[in-house]
Amino acid sequence: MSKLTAFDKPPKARRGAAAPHQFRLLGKKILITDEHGRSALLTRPEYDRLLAGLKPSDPLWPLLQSRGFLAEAFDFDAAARRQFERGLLSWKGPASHVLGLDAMSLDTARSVVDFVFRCPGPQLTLELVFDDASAVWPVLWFITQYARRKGEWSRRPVFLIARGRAMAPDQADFLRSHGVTRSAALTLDGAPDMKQAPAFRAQRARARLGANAADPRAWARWFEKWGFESVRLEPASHDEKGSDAFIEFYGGFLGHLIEHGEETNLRDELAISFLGGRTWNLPGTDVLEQLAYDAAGRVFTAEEGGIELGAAASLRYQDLAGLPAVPAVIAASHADNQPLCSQCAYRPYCTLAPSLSRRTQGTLWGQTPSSVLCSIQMGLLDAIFERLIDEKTLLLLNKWHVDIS
Amino acid sequence: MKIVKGSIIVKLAKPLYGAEGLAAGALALGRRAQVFVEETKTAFSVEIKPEGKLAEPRLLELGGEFLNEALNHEYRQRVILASSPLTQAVFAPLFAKGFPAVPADPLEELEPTVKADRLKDVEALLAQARAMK
Repeated sequence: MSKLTAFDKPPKARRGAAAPHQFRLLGKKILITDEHGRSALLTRPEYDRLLAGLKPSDPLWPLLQSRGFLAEAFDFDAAARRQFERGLLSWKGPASHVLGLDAMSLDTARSVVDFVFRCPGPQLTLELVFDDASAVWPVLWFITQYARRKGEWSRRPVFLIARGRAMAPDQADFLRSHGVTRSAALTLDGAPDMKQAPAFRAQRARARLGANAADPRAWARWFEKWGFESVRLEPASHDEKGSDAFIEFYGGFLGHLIEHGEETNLRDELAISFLGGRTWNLPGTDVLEQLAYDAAGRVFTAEEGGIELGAAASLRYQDLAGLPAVPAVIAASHADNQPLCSQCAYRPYCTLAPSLSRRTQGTLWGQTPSSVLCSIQMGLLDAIFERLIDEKTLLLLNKWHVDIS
Repeated sequence: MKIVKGSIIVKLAKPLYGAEGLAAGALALGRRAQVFVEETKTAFSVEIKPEGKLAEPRLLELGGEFLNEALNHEYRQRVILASSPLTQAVFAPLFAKGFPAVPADPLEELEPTVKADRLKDVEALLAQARAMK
């Protein structure tokens, strides 16, 4: 099931001409990427010229030199800097903390927030997840107030996100006035009814595709109409059928945003997180990006299928590195250790969360050749990179503050 | 891969497959099956005995899952070895320094009343939240 691509006739390469890179065939184009996420889309003759050795008079030379694809003009200092900035060497701790609030007690909420603030990241995001805000209101109210105070006391920016299916207007007002981003957990079934408002006014949406989700462009218009600022789409299931449908839906959704880039205020969180920075920052990446907490105050490596690490009330942050699960998930997150990832053009943008691999394939490492998660990530990245040649895409990414230069 | 009395029997040649790869395959199956291994000089003979009775397609799927993980493990070890200079350079400093927690707030350390005031503030918040129920 691997989606790696190969040439029918491999091009001839002159040793020392092109700097190390990975390639991927995208339609008639060839995508090349380097270790640090710089990329270029070339035609076959252009790629042949690169491998044979570009002359400085070649019109491609300035572009490929500036992106570090020419071995003869490689900037080692810049490469070292990028390696540090984008790699784990500059990792400060998990930035995202997902708290499952349903049935959580106030005492547990307090110990979980205390644990979160023992994490040393320069900024912290607490994502508070619930079904109906009314059912967890005292806990949601308390965490909002307490986390704000802890942020002030520790002089660190704190981002709060309240993600749920239902929320009363006065609760939404309280959260808005305390700078809490409201995120609606939605399931997209069929085509949208444009007149049907969401359960509450939210800035973000975490939208899981239902089995019959259709018309992604209409859904994009629905999100725009109801004032959403960003959407993160999720597949209905992690089987082959679900993944193909998801990739197709995503392509249509992204296509709409690109076509209406000038007027739309809607952002695609998937594209932003893939292109926006560091692979270990990808949402859901165990420990490196995320820790999760359940209603009983237990700490997990991730929200979905994470491994239990201990209880927030008794676990010390500094003990995490010594727990067997933590080095295991970190090593498994690292693409250099994965058979197919190590040759994949999307390696600088992608990480499969080990907990998801464990849930879907029974192993933290995942089996990339047969991994549906890998197929999904590659399909999504194909949908993004195929469109990068379009000026409108670049303008939209610029609007989203994603720098891919 | 053949089916004998409700179990999968598979022969795997050395040195492509090693004991670690077979262990990884067995771990991927978890409690769904028991895995028995017999070793000769040149090969392993593996019996995968499922927990409960399985229809033939499911049985073959189970065997396939085992083989996928065993082969993937062997290949992964080669990849890990090949990339170890780079990955060690990344992981060694990460784990050498451990995960240092945020140090205690100097303001609370120097001024005990600050800590006491903050505790009072939190207790008041908790009381207010409890009153909402």
